[in-house]
Formats: sequence, structure tokens, C-alpha cells
Amino acid sequence: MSGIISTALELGLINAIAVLALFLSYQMLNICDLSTDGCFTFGASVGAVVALQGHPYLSIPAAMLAGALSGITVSFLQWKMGIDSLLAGIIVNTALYSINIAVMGNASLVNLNKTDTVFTFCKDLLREGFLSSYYRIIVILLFVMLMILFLNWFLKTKLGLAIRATGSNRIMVASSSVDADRMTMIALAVSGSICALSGCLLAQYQKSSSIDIGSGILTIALASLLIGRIFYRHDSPMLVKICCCVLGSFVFRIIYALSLRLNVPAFMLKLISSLIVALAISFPYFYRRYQEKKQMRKEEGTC
Amino acid sequence: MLRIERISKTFDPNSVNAKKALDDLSLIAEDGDFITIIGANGAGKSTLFNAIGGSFFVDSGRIVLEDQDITYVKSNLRAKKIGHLFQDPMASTAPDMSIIENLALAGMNKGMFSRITANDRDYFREKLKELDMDLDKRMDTPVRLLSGGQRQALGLLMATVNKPQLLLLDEHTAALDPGSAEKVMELTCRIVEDNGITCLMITHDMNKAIEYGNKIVMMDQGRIIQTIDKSTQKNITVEDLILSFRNRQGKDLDNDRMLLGI
Ligand SMILES: Nc1ncnc2c1ncn2[C@@H]1O[C@H](COP(=O)(O)OP(=O)(O)O)[C@@H](O)[C@H]1O
Ligand SMILES: [Mg+2]
Repeated sequence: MSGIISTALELGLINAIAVLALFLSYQMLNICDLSTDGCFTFGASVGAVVALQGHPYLSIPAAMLAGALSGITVSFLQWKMGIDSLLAGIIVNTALYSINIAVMGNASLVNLNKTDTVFTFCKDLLREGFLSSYYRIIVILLFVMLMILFLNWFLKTKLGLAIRATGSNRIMVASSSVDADRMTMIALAVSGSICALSGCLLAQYQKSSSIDIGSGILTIALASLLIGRIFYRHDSPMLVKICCCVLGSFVFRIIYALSLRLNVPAFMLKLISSLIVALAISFPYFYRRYQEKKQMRKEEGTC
Repeated sequence: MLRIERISKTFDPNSVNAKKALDDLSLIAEDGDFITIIGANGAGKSTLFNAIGGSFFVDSGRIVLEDQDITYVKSNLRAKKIGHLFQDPMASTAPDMSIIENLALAGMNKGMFSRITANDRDYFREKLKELDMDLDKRMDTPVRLLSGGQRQALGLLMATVNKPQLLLLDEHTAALDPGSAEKVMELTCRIVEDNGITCLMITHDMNKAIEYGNKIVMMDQGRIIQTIDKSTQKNITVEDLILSFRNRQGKDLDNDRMLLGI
């Protein structure tokens, strides 16, 4: 039982890193990066292959660099080739399918069972210590905290402000000294690298990477993000907003775990996340409709 | 000094909708000028400002600001020297960012990775105090919670905090309620005067055009049809403007939004 809970916790935290990537691209920059699934897998496969070559620490920066490249490609298609942002994401996502198989050595699966990873490294480091059985969660927590601190710092720098302004008011940015295209490129590169980090950690955590390790991660992370959105207000401090993303990821995992309890089969995970996203995004629409109806009825009453 | 030499701009050329919005237009603004621009809807006033701001390149002609030819300089580079404020208060600020973050984005001249320090906060607090709208006490409030007048005042501060060489005001008080409009106009005059900023202002209020401008420019069909210098024509009235337009263009300066003030 505690095994199930700690697994849920660990997976929730790895997922939370992808949610943080979306917080930057979707929430702050206001762009839905449809290459997220492919980028996640890219991080997983690059990280796995580099670890397989005997460089477990290098696997992290390598995966993040790969993710940044993917993000830069998406923005390049928009900026320099005039392709719509959604389409640019889809194109890169499709291209990454082939690239990921090529990276994994023309295979759709890489096995890391006997390979040193950041997890085995931490396990060796802790060896007999009293924390030794928590090595997984320690590694994951470390990365989650690093990313929270990084984003909180980054989004408050002048560069971060310019990125947020680009997401908040394109019209304003168009007549300001901020270069919106450049900001989009930087933000997508950073969010791509964070997303790839998440994929890299998942592959090393479950000791294998596969071509569909990232399939559906965009919807799952979006669901978590939108759940997290419930817990903060417009004027909450940035750090609170960021932490709410992590919280949203947990709540999503709990909802998922509960539905498993109700004998919903595991393959339904993606249906559940789709439902959550659809409902969460349409909620403001329904709320407005409801308000209008109420207003209408009130006016009929007064006539 | 701003020197505009014979610029033209046609939108959608080679189509049935081709529209010559700027037609061989020249204009000079000396340092410290406050030029007001009037003209009917569609005369090309906003298009003139967009050409100066660089949201498109002109088809022909030159634009020179402080001896630098900016005709083909990208808009975000021009924005470092030119402040641009629009009619819509929503267009000049980022609603999801706080007041201080908006101001810092516009006026914090430090590196990419610098953050807002306590000194910056003090500096911007003093600037906000000058607006006299109590915004200095709400620096961490998201801008979306402000009123239109407050947002426009903040936008004005953002556009001028770096002392631009030129300020473009495109009917920036037209969407505000009368009280806020007056307040923002008063702030505009103060800031422009204190910093000695060269300013062009589009307005549909002819009384305001006469009151605030040291020069009044009348536009029609993409051209400047008359420039009135108040230092030589001191007692110009709204009636004079209307008569002069009729004499030159053979039609009335008709504009349902134009406040004729008679
Ligand atoms: N981006 C554009 N594309 C096509 N036509 C435009 C564009 N901007 C302005 N125009 C046209 O140019 C003319 C001048 O518009 P504008 O400068 O906005 O007038 P105003 O003097 O009322 O500010 C109008 O006929 C308008 O329809
Ligand atoms: Mg206009």
C-alpha cells in the first residue's frame, strides 16, 4: 500500500516538472505548445542513450539541451517560416517521432535495467544511511525544487517580465521595445528543456524509455495545470502560483488513483485527463452562459 | 527633432481595396513642440503615427529622428526612443502583471537577468506618486484590476519614464470618462513639460487641439492640408479651423465624433 502511495507521489512529482514547463509556455507565454509529447519523449530518449553510454550526469544536461532545441525549432517555424503556432507544434511533434526512434538506435524501446542513472548514483551515495530507501524521492524532489526556484527567479527577471508581457498583451508588446518573436523563442526553449528534463527523469526512474513514453503528457500536464489554477488568485505571489502547479499535479494523481480504486482500468488515464481539460477550459464559458441566462430571467421578471 | 520627408503608404496595393492612407506627407516637429493633429475619421492620422512608430515600413520617403534615419529601423528598436499611447487603455499595459512589473519592464534599464530591487521600488513609487492616483500604494496589484483611467495614466508613465525623444498620443483620452480624461490630460501636460518631450497628439476635440498645441496640423486623405502655428496666429478659434477646412477642401469637416464646440 505505502508502495502504491510513494509511487504515485514520485510519478506525480516527475509529472509536476512537465507541468512547470507548461506553466511557462501555456500560462505565462499563452502559447499551447503541441510538441510537448514529442519533446518529453526526446528528453527521455536522449537521456537514456547518454546514460547508456556511461554518463548518467551528462544525461540531464543533454536531455535539457535536446528539449531546448525542440522548443527553438517550434518558434523558428513560427517566426521565420510564418507557420501558425499550433501547426508548428504539431509539425515538430511528428518530426520528433522519427528523430526519437533514430536517437534510440532505430528501436522503439531502450532498456536501462543495468545502466547507471541519476537514481542509482544517488542510491550508491546514500548506501547504508537511514535515507537509503528514499533515494528515488530525494532525486525527484531535488529536481522539482530546483525547477521551482529557477522559474521563480527567471519569471521575475527583466527577461521574464518581457516574456510574461508577450503572453499577457501582444498588442502592447508590438508597440514596445520588447521583441515578441525573440521572447517566444527564449520561453519555448526554456519550457522545452524543462519538459525534456521531466521525460529524462521518468525514463531513468522506470529504467526504460520507449517511443510512447510521452504520449498524452500534454493533456495530463494541462489537466494538472488547470487543477492547480484553482488554488491561486490573480494577485498571488509568483512562488505560490508555481507551487500550485505542483499541487495540481498531485491532485490529478489522486483523482487518477481514486478512479483506479473504482476499478477504472489504467488505460483510461488519458480519457480522464482529456475530460478534466475539456471541462476546466470550458468552465468559464459555461459560467458566462449561466450568468447571461440568470440576467435574462431577471429582466423577464421585471417586465 | 522629427523630420518626415514625403512619406507615402498604400494598404493592400494591387487589389480592389487598395487604399492610399498616406500621400506624400511631410512634417517637421522641432524639439519641445506639442503638435496637435485633427482630421476626419479615416484621414490617416493613426496611420501616420504607426508609420513613425514602425509597425510597417513606408512605401517611399524618409523618417529622421534626432539625425538618425529610422525609415527602416524595426519597431521594437524605435520604441526605445518613441513612446506610443493609444485610445484603448487596454493596449498599453499587461493586465496579468502587477503595476510595478509593468513599470519595471518599461523603465528598468539594466541587464536581462536583473530583478526589481528595493531601490527600483522606491524610484518607481516616487514616479507613481506623481500620478496622484494612489497607485503607489498598490504597486503589487495586477493591472487588470485598475480602471481605464488608471491604466491609461500608468501607460503614460510607462511611455515617458525613459524620457523618449518623441511621444505619440493617439486620442489617448477619448475612451475615458470625462473626469479621468481631464486627469490624464493634465498629467500628460505636466510630464511632457517637465521632461521637455517633443509630442504629437491626435484629438477629435478641436478645443483641446487649440488649447494644448503650439502647432495645429489638419489632415485629410493622407495629406497635411494646413499647419497653424499659434505663435503667429494667436487667437485662432474653432470656427476659423472649420472655415479654413471648407475653403481648402471644398467640403465640410464633418465628423460625428468631432467636437466642434460651437
Ligand atoms: N492596417 C491597415 N490595413 C488596411 N487599411 C488600413 C490599415 N490601417 C488603416 N487603414 C486605412 O487607412 C485609412 C486611414 O486610417 P486611419 O489612419 O486609422 O485614420 P484615422 O485618421 O481615423 O486615424 C482608412 O481608410 C483605413 O481603413
Ligand atoms: Mg485613428
